[in-house]
Amino acid sequence: MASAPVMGRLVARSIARNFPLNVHFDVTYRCNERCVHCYLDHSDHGEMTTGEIKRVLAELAEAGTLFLTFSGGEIFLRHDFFELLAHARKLRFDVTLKTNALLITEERAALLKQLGVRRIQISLYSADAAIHDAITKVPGSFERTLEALRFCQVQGLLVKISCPLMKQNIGAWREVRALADALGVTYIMDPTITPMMDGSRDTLAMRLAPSELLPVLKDPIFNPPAAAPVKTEGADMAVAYDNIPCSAGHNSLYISPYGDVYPCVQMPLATGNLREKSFTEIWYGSAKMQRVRDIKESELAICRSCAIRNHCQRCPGLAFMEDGGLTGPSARACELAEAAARIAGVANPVSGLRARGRLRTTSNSNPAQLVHIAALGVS
Amino acid sequence: MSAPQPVVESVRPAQNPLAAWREMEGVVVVISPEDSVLHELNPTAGFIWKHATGERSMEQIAQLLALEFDVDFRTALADTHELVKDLVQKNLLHIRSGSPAEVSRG
Repeated sequence: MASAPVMGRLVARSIARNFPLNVHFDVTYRCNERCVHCYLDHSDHGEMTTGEIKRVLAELAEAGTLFLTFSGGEIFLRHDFFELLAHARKLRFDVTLKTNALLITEERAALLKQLGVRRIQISLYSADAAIHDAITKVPGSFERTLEALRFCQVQGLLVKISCPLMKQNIGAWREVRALADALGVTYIMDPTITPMMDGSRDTLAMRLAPSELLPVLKDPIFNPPAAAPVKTEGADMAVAYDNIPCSAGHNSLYISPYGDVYPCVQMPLATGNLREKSFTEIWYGSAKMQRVRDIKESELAICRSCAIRNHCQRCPGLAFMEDGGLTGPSARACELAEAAARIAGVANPVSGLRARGRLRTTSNSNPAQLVHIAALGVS
Repeated sequence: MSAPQPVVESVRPAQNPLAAWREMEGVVVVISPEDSVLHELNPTAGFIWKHATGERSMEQIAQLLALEFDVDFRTALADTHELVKDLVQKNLLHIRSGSPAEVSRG
């Protein structure tokens, strides 16, 4: 199958030319769940209208966007969502949906298939209904989500379970994986918990410490060899990402329900508003967007000389959001890099921030403690 | 999926409406809706794909192809025939039959 090298070439070309290949579009922040870790303000402060979103979609199609993700909030709370979806498919986007699936009925699942939706990512926090419902704060949500997931499967949609990991559900990660396997769907487990949009850091109380994540990080499934992307996507992909932190602003972007354009959903750097300017003006003309594009890995102040850089998955957005700089280190990434390096066999790994005495947390370098922590993940 | 229909010059190829696609710097990429395979079409194939609107016959597309790439009509028709057959088998193109009166012999 030639798909992987083709994807590599496509991504390389889009990054080299700054084509907006991937767009994450939140069409609403309203939601019918109240997840404890959610960073959004669920009030409607003036969502774009149906007509405004259709106009933006046409501009994105014209600019070369192929991969379009509709997300939220809960997308199906928009009364015009199927109209927007039909318009997006008419414009021949490859559409992925992110949803809690509570509002997906058998009929709606069939309509999604009929409209040409290819992938649907459904949030599921545990294989234990009580844990899931405690996180969403909606009694019965586990059963409803699972039922909707099956409706989508019956239609032949590619279903992926998305399971953010936090203190409330860390013990259930093996069961979620087993559930996904039993259902025959793929899954993603992500320990990224971010501050709230208003800057509040209350949600970070739910974030797992690196020591708590060790059982997960030790699983080869979640800790693939560093060379894996090169093998699967081809050399073009590796070259494309050489010396840039990530795809944000290069071939990927985020659009809020209010028309604000950001380099990434995790990078709160508004570069323009689609009610005031065209997409092309913002994407190619914003000085802030260009600033993000100009960042090179080799220029990152502390990271470039970090001894465990190969184990680091620094997110520029999180570094900006939590540590105040687009080019500076991320304390969270430093902590996780130390954990990953330790798993890889590096004795006493020291991240760039710790080397400068600026990492406040402990290094968890006591081997006995690590063995104990690892055992916590075994059910 | 129904069995592929025979491909003859008078039929009008049409893109599968469930396929997603874009053109980037002259390269057309198409995602197969059934198996999620990403296909990259060469310039000739991309030209034929973009003109497979369900309104033009294979002969009409071949005529446009001959003009665009400065090749003789027979070669263009053979290329069109081969590509359409391939993409029909991959379910990226569907074919619509047209009455003889609807098909230009230009």
